[in-house]
Amino acid sequence: MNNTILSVRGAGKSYKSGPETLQILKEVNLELQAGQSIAVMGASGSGKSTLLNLIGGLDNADCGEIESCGFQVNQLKEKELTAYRSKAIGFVFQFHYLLKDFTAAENVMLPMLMRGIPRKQAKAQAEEALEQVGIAARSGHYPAQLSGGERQRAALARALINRPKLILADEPTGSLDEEHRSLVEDLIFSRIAESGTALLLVTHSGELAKKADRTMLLREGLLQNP
Amino acid sequence: MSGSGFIAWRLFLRGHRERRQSKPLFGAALGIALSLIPLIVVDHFADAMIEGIIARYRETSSYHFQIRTWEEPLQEEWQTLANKIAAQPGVATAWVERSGYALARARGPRDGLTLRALPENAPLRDTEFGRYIEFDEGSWNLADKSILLGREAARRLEASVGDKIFILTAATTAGNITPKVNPMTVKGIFTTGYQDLDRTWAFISLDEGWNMLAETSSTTFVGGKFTSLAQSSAIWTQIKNTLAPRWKAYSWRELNRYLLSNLESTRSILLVIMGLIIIIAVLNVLTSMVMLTLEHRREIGTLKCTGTSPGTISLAFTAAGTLAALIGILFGLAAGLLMSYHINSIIASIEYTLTLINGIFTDAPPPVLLSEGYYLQEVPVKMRWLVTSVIGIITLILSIGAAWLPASRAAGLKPLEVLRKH
Repeated sequence: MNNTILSVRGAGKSYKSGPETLQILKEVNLELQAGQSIAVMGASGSGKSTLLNLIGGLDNADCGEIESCGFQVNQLKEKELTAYRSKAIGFVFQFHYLLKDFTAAENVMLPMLMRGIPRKQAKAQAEEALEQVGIAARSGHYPAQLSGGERQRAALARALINRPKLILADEPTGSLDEEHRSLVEDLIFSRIAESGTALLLVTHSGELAKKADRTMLLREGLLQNP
Repeated sequence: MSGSGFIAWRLFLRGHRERRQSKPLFGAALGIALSLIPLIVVDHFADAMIEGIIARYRETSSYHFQIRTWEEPLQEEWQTLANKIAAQPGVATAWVERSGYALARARGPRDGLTLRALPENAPLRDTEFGRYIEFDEGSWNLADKSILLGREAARRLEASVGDKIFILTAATTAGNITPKVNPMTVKGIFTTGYQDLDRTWAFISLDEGWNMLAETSSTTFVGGKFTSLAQSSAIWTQIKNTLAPRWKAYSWRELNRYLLSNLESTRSILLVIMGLIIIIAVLNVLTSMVMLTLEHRREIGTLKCTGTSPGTISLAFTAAGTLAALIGILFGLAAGLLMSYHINSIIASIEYTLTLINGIFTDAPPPVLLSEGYYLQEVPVKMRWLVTSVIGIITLILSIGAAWLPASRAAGLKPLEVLRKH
């Protein structure tokens, strides 16, 4: 049985910077199995976030193929992209990007509402998700009323609420202090282990990368074993 | 509540939760409300004024219809015609009127008058006519060389009830026009509610009119009223068909066409101004929505990342703008209707305040906002529910359009571009 959740074959991406063309990704190959976690490390500007953006359908690869959760990401139309982001993947960014006009619970339940799940059911599941990340008591608070760690935990709950097959995490603890960082890192790995979700993690942190099943290094546009 | 409805509701409520946040939608709602209030008040005011003016002219001056001729029929022929018309079903009353110009002198300087010779029992025969003629002094009495003067005419002539007044008219004797002095007694001073009518009008009896006003320098006609103006079309056609060719029939619309045309022009100008007010209010929605979407670019990017479709985002922002517009419209219409209903009390309060301030700081006479000099002493308010509803619906439709434009642009934002900038 094929358990491959993510398959990247020969993906490349370049950007125009004035008269120059910067080749960020040359030929990236990557495979991720269900429930597996891979940490991608690399220097700043090496293209880690770009790779994540290509997989998340936020940007288009110039060449190569990206197949994620059964979707040919590079060929998706707007409507299919919405379905892909809604059902198949979850994002965790360095910054929480919670909607400031919505409470923690409302932020978490939004992706469910977008799938047409009734509000009552969505709210109950959101409360449960917040409990699982340890901030149930803060569910009625707005992001401005939460600490950095709490916001990131709410963002994690939001990413997991639709039970995605793949979590794309871009420096998820990069903006947190030492104490919260460790807490959130442990939470990420425990939650994905419980839910059987695959994780593609981009980080500078060797400590965090060590917690993943596998670590890869992105250098000169190529993804290599360290 | 759907996802887009939920987002819309939160977008609208934003800013109410955090004091530091800007409140573009609250501003849009307020802008629409503040634009609609004067719009509704002006619409009611203008309509009431126009309706009031038309009704007053029709009931006191032009009648519902007039029968005229270029020939010079005898007094008996006029009376026969009037009786024949009055006997028609659907006709409330019809009488002969003769009117002409005269020069008058009482205690003060000489002044010109429009003499209107009417049956002595005119207000009894036509209660609508009687309703619009209010007496300051004396009463309706045209017997024994009596004359009734308009308020302003009496003031200028310095005449009071009981005074002798000399009316100079033109008499035709053997083809020559000669002056004729007619001594009369003032039996009443009246007002029609309009200064320009009160300035010139004077009523005398029809018999005196035949004596004083020469055929060549006066106008004679049969004026009539329908029992119901709204259902007069068939009766009017019948009256015209039964008239001999020498008689010409004119409806009140034909007789007042210049007045109606002027009032219609005024109404059109008001409508254009009202349209501009609505457009300004809708532009307010547009700018507020642009601000809202600009402030929410990061949220839009996040929503897209979490699987929200562009359609849902567009719908959510459009709904938020529409909600703001709807609240503004409901508040504006309600406040506008309330102010229209109480416009006379509001004007009286303003007048009272101005008088108070004027009394404290100056010796000038107190200001009068509504007087007969300005046509109306009181605004006759009639609630215009249909027009008010139409204004509300048009504003709502335009607001939805204004909200949709920036919302659809916002929905097209690329999440990566937005998140990179934030």
